[in-house]
Amino acid sequence: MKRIMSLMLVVTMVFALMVTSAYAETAEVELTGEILTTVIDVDIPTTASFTINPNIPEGTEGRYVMPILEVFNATTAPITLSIVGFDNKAGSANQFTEVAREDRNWAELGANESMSYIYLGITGESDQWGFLNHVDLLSTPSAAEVQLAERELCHIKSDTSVSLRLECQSGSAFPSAITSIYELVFIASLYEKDSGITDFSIEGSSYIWNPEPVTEEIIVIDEMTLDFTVVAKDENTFYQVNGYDFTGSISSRLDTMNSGDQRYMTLYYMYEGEYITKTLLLSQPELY
Amino acid sequence: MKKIISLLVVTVLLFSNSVFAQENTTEVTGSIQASIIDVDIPTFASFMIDPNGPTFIAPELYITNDSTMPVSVSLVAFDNKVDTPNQFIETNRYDKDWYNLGANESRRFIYLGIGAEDIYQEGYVEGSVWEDMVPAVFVQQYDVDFASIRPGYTVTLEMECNYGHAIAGAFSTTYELIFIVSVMD
Repeated sequence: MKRIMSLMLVVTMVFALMVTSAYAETAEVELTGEILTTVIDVDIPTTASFTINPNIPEGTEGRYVMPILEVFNATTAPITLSIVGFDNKAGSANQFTEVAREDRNWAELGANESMSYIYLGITGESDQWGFLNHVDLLSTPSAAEVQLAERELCHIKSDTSVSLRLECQSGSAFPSAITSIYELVFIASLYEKDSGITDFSIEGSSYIWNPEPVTEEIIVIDEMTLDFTVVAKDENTFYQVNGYDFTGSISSRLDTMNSGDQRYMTLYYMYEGEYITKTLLLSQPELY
Repeated sequence: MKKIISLLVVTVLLFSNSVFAQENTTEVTGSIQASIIDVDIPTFASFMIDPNGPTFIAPELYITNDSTMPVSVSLVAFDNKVDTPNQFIETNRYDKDWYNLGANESRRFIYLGIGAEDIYQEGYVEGSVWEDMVPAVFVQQYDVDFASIRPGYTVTLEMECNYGHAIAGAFSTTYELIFIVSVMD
């Protein structure tokens, strides 16, 4: 009997080993994703017209009959609409000089000046459904301002439209009827949250820039000194890295800061209309 | 009298010898082999996001239990492969306003989930299947005992995805899903 007991014990142990050996298998699935490019699809009228009737007093309906431009964003993503050109078309019959509304005393312009100067601007109603995250147009530039620099007009939600309206002021002394053709050039680009810094990268790190004001932990090769590159929106964009002032796009090297054992760096920049400070906590890759 | 006593002793001894048992031992050795887990899970799959549709084309993953016993399948990893070009941050499905994400966020955030195409498929051991989609971000925190599968059956998993639509340039990204298959307990 003792011998049988011994045999049973051995069998039990062997079973236990067998179960362990067959207990689990690991299977890995490699899943590759292809993400295609968004195609920007925005409908903007290609022609429009306006009329100035100098015989109707200023401030009275009918003096200026200005077009409304309906801009429809058929893209599946929100877009930012900017205007980059607003000027007399080359070769157009009457070449005005576009000025700011307050630059002239319009009521007192003579024939020569009336034929020479004009105020044209672009505006739009507030609270339009198509606006992504703002109430008013981001800017209501005059043609003269657009000729100096590109201006962002609005962020438009997917599958919605916004209305832009042209406005005008002119002299009233036109010896003869004229026709003048203007060319407005719009640019539609994929919406990006408004940040003065469009990209921030650190050498030796796979960090992807996130402008949101959240603290992030990133892995760097050397947590004491960082070589970094900032791509700014334009050359006047002001920001700070670890308290040092910078403007425009730069590549630089800075020592990091420390709090206890934690190394970190800070960025101070404009985000959605306010200056914010972002902290990046630094650590080195784990060594095995 | 002494003679009688001697006789009694002899008798007792004889009786003792005659009732002593014979020993017969049968040794039975059992040899039972280990069950072999034999489950087919695809090693490669691909999905495609066309933000202009918008369209998400995802694979169906078929898991076939060719073992002779039911097995349990756990999902223990679901993340961007290390060093793949674009490292997304996986979120829960309703964490983002996907339609209004800008270009930067569209490249940064994604929701990916995996789950049973049909929880009533015959292949599942009744009551064992995880009924909801399992977000990748959840698997990154917890192992998920996904389901138990009957021997000889195939079950189908499907994926779902939410993503921003502002993709400034096409790119690829690779994910790694790790399943653990074990004998159903």
